[in-house]
Amino acid sequence: MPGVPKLTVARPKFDARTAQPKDLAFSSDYNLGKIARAMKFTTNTPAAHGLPYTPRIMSMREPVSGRFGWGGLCAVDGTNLKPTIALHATSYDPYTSADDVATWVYVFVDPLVAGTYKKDMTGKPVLIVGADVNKNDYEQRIHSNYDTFKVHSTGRLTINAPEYDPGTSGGVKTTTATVNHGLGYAPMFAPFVNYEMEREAYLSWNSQYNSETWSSGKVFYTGQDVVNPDTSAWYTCKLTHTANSTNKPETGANWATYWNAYVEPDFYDTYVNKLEDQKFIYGGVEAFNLSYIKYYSTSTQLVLELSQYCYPDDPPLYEYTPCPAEKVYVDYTIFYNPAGEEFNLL
Amino acid sequence: MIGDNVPKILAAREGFDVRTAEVKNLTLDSTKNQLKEFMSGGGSVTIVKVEWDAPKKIIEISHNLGYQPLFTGQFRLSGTDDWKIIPAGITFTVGEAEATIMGAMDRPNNNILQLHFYDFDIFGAEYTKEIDYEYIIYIDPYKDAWSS
Repeated sequence: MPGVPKLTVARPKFDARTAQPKDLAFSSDYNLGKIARAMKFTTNTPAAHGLPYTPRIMSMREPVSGRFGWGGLCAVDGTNLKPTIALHATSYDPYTSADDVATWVYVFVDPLVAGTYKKDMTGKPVLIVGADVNKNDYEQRIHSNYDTFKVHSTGRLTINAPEYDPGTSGGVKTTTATVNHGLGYAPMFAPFVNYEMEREAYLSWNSQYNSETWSSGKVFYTGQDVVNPDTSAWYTCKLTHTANSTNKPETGANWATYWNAYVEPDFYDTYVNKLEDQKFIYGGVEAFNLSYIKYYSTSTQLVLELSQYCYPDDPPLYEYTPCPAEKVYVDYTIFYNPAGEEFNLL
Repeated sequence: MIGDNVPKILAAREGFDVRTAEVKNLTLDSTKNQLKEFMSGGGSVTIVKVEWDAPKKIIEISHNLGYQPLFTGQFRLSGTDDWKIIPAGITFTVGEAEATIMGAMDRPNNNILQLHFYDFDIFGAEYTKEIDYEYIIYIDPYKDAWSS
């Protein structure tokens, strides 16, 4: 792009002129999300975000003091942040819950509904890169007044929990995998999955949500599981298309372009990054043994936690069964950004 | 750190000295990987709920990155002010009843990201509602992003 001035910095040992975008520190070819503010809420009382338009937000939960997870509940409009204090489990046997300590909201100067905002930086050093630096702050690709997500470290946490057999009275066993981040404060992290998830509900609801019956004229999307009503055989769509006789599973001339034979998932091998796609379905989940997964940061660690709840023998309703061995793992990213420190750059 | 003979661009938050500030108080640090937005966008979709139906609308976004990128998104009922973070539900009244439209996402492969808007209640009231959505797909993968 001759004639277009840019600011591009690559990671160490990479050439900024040839590096792939994911190997850059930042580049004026790509917008940097501009974090303007972090606010803590201990009640559901709304508060002004300080921008004259509706901004993008992200939100974390602080279920207990000093522990941070994603899935904070908050709405935003042109004036206010409207948080909801969520509930977290305090016991799985019996199941009890309590209010979170706080909901944290991170406000971006980047808008959901465009408006006008430009901070007066007169007399202050600032680095701004954009097509027209006189325009709104959110129209600049890089603006040094606002914070950015900065990657601290990445890796994998894995729990290999053996079979849990507490006996017919049942019980709960919790296993954790942790990494010491050394930051001295609780950081933000990825993936942005909810703080607390139950595996049986996730699998059951997603399976029900994702199941369709094949019929001509219907649009099937990549990833959907579909049953052929003629054979009762299941398939997974691998390319979004409108169904007709030429792409019908097994009988259509082009069916292999659009379908794979359905493969039953391994219910006891859970990739936490995948749990972002949770769906909800009407009605409950018929399950007795349950697996609760938590993912959170503290001032010292990033923590992946699995609690296996083994339901007691309850004849004639339920015959005691140990919790099978299971694996839970996450590919994590820890950011330098603190989860629990308020600031205001507006 | 300044003085280590590594050329760099640093900017600190207002009120902090860039020469001594901790990384968490730097707004820009060229020695670190900053999340970079690859694509963003938005649109509207109509949900039509009829009797004994659980409607869903899927928006397929082709990013073609070849890996799973970080993602954030928000949605609202058209004509209202409150945006919520995906995943979430938006509840509204239909006559004397209540209905909820859920916003969710999916990652069917390494080149596509989907937004899902749906009502899971087959027994609920009938309605037609429009949803507005906005999303950001980052360049940075949710696995093995570079760090220093």
